[in-house]
Amino acid sequence: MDNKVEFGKRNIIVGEAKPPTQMFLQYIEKQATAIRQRAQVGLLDRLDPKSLKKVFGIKFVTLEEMSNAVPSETIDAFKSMTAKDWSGCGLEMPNGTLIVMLNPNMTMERTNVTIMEEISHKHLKHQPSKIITLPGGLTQRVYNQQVEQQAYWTAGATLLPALVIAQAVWKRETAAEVALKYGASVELVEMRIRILGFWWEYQNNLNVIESIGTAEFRRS
Amino acid sequence: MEDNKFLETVNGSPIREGATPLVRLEDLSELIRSKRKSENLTLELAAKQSKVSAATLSRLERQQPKDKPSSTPDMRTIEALTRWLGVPLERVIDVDDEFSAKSATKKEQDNKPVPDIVEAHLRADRNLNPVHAEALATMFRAVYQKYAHMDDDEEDD
Repeated sequence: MDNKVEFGKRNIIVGEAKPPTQMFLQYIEKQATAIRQRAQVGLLDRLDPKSLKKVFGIKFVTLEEMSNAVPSETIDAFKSMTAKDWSGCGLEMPNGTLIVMLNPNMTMERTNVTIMEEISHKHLKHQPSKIITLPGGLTQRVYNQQVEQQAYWTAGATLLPALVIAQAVWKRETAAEVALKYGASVELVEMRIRILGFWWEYQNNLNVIESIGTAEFRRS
Repeated sequence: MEDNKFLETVNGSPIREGATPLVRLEDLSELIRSKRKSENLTLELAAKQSKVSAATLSRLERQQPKDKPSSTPDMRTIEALTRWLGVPLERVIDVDDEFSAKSATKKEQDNKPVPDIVEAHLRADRNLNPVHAEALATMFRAVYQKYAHMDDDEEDD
């Protein structure tokens, strides 16, 4: 594993994200399939991450639940966060329950992938972000980019299985159509198309759709 | 780590009492000795390769567990050495998995402030402005207080 230490900041980065290998991609697809199996959701079915709470022992905490436990300024600050500021956080409780709190201002698509990332961390048994105390006492966060990449890619593969993407490209559907059907962002669908090696074919489809129109070109 | 008592904070980050055992000096010492021996490197050559002075290498090789904390190398030295040794940083630094269930349970038993650790994470997040970091820290403190003792059957609707 590569080590990268950033000085002058409070993050220590270990395990820098690298371009994926074939083995890594296979591992991700396998884990995504396993998550769907655990959740008893078919490979072509739309998956609602919130419905996995029982299977994975998750409690979603809402602002409403916490409104009496924190000052109103905290609630206001929370509500003022944009999707770019913060997406969500999972915190494992002593009894093993994963408490998940999400930014209420995210789109449904972003919320879905954020929840799936937390579930992926749990499924892959990742050690959560770590804290080390340096000589002299200053606490620093250890941020493992490889682990974050694994969780994000697994989340994407779980929401959008390889079979879904392959079938969509074969049927000459657009990323926007797939995104709408599966509750994912267009960017995530496009990322999956690239990862799975269908990008050239997909681009070719888009060019043809543009020139001759969708209806004539579709496969069923 | 035996001693987790929080004494004070620097910029909101907790400082631990007795924080020095975190760098595993005996392991570091052994790794340096082994590499020098197996590759037949003089101190000078090892210093040139690792970019750590011969004096520091020599001192680290002779490091004993009872040595004073002041002899602990700084992070730049540790990073240079782990690169040279070809081992992950975590091989010579004790990383405390604060959020693992086991660790959290231990913290709970010891009445240790897990929310303080969360706060350190939030403050380290470069995407967050201080107001939001503060709000999140307050929120997670309250969430932890509310749900840390939750029974399985209380879990959700």
